[in-house]
Amino acid sequence: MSNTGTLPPSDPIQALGPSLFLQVLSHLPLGSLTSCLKVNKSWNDLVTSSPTTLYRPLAAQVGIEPPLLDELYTKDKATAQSSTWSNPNYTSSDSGGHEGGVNWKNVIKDYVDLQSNWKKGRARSKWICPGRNTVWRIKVDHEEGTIITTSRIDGILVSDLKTSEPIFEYEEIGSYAHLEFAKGYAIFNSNDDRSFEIHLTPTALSKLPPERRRNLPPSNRSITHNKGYSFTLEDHYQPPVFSENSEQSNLTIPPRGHLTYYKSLTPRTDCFAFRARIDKQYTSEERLVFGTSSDEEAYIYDLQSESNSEMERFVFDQQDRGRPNYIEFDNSYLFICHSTSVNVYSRNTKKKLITFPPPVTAPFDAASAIYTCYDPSRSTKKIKPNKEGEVLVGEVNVQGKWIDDNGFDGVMMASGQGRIAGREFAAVHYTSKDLFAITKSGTIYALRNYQDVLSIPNPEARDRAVNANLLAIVIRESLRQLSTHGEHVVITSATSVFLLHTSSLPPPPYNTGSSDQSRPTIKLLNLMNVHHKGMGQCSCLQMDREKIYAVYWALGESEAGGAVNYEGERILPPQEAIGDFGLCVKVWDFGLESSS
Amino acid sequence: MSDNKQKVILQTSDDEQFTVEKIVAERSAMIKSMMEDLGEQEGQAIPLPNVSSSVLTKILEYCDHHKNEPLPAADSSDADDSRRKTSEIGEWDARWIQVDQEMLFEIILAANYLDIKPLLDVGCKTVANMIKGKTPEEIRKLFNITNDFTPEEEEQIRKENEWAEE
Repeated sequence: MSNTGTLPPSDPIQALGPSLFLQVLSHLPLGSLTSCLKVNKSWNDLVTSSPTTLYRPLAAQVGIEPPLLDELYTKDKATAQSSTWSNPNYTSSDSGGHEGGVNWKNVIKDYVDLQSNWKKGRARSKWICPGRNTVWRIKVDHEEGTIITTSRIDGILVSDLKTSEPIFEYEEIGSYAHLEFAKGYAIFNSNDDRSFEIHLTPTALSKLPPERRRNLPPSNRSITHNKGYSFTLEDHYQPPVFSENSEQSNLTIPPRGHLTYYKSLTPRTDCFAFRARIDKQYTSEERLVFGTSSDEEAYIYDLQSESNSEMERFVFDQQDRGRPNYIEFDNSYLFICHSTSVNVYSRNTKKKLITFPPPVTAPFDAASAIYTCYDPSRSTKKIKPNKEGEVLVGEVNVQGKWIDDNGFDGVMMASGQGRIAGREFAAVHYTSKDLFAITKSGTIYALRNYQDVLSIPNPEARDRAVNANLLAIVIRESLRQLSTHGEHVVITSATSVFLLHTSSLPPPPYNTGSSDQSRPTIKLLNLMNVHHKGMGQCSCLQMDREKIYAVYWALGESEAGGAVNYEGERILPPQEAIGDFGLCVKVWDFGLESSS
Repeated sequence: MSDNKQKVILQTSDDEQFTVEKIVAERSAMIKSMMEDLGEQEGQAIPLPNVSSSVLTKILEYCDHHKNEPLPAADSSDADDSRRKTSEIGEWDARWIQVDQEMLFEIILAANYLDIKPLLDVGCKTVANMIKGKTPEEIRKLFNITNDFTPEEEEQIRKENEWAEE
């Protein structure tokens, strides 16, 4: 039977049989599966009738987030009585058809569509107007369906995310409070920069062990709780009283929107910047941590531990002391934005690993490639929206210019930034591989493959790697806010909201450039349904998998005649956004209904 | 020691007999369970009516090379391993499986019949790698397949799957 050896190639569906061939197909990426659909009718039938076998393994591959995956796997398991996946003898049609099961092809399609919308800037937008429109900082709590806001006047407000209707107001919190939020823990600075208060949402509170809950401080004296839209002192919401005798009241969970006082943290020194995040997310070692920095030291706290002292402490070198503008950290590294540089510390050794960009005293060739774009507002090309109701988007092409054209300083000077002025750092965040930092005078720095660079043990080799992997994009417009999610980066400037995808950046190394090398272009998207008079007041930027939230001045936008749509018509913010102080939240939603 | 040197006789579809070390034959979960069923009946050949001698020769090479590796767990089903890692094919395996298409299919069929999971995996990935990156027309050429779609049907499929293009 196998002695002939010269048989013509044969269709694997026949040669292997459909069930074995399905095992072959289950190793294919999305694009190849699509090619298989187009081969002929029997291949098309096989692929179409086996969405679970073929598309389910791709869900993690295309990048769907672990919590959503877990939810889908659980749903799949619950509905599939006997999962064909666990059975090596696949039948020719699988569980894709069973009632209520997960349609994995659609799951993947929705995700791919969402990513494509982000890349193309396809979104709809709306306003959220919590409270009296005096918003300073915001955090969205998806678990509770609420939005938490601090104010330019005073107080903290928890409102319904959909209706903007206030649920609870916390008075006596000073104006301009910074706010962090993760896993139901809301953290804000008290009226001075000495300490931080941590409050829990009902969901977070319900996850505390009962003995912890019983021992919480009764209430924080600086906060009053109000219920309903009209806030009067008579309407205080009484938080449940925990007592040893009453088992029942121990288990009482306050209603949605309520924040329960958990504890206060007082670092050793006055702290300015702070940040909450989840360490080792989606692993069994997951824990909620909080980092903060003074001008001399930085600290990381474990928020779930009972201890009130820091878990990690970083002491800055003499020359690095100064008020920090921003703090960020991942599982391994701590990033501090100082006035003229970003310093990166190892969370393991607590030592400084690198500083970027190169110090002002460094020779020209120590700097990296510089991409410049002069006056992006004029070089923005408008893109007609796909469908009615989608926001107007522009494309900004940033022309590459290599360092030795003018030298690092030459480019910075030509772009009107100067050597020092170009370095007032405002924020730092990271995507899966790249570290992004923005300056107030208009440069976006991207340190590509930052984990690889930082893990180089030899300091000189590490510095060389920084130069090879550091890209500077000069926008020449004051940059204010930075946020990242997945591979998407959002930056607000004094006039615009820019959207960048890491795949649009040219690959490193960048320090080999010369005038005669080709100059790649970087594409930025500009979300154009904002007016710069409002945008100049942008105080907060948030992102999640589907949305961007930007706090800005609707009143200013209205005074300036609103933003302009594709037809050149002026669109004014709605009356509820303009009301009172006009500081509201604009939301861009990229999770449009699937286009088919 | 002496246990490892134990031999077992395998008889192929074309009536050839192979005397192999037990530890090599045990790579096949199917042969392993047959040996357990047969017990210690010396000299009795295990019939493999679905495997030819040329394919078995090839597969025994594989089993011999991997004989000292731990056997995959009896029921390592993928039920909870949905985020399975798509590991690359090992270097030796990749060289070993450079055979013509017909032999490749025979190896996959035999690996499935003999229940040698890692080998089945290597075989399936090899075919998948042949398909990867190819256009529908290139795939048809690879396997000698005729396109039986009308232009209208092709257009319909193209439209429906535009989102999933590479």
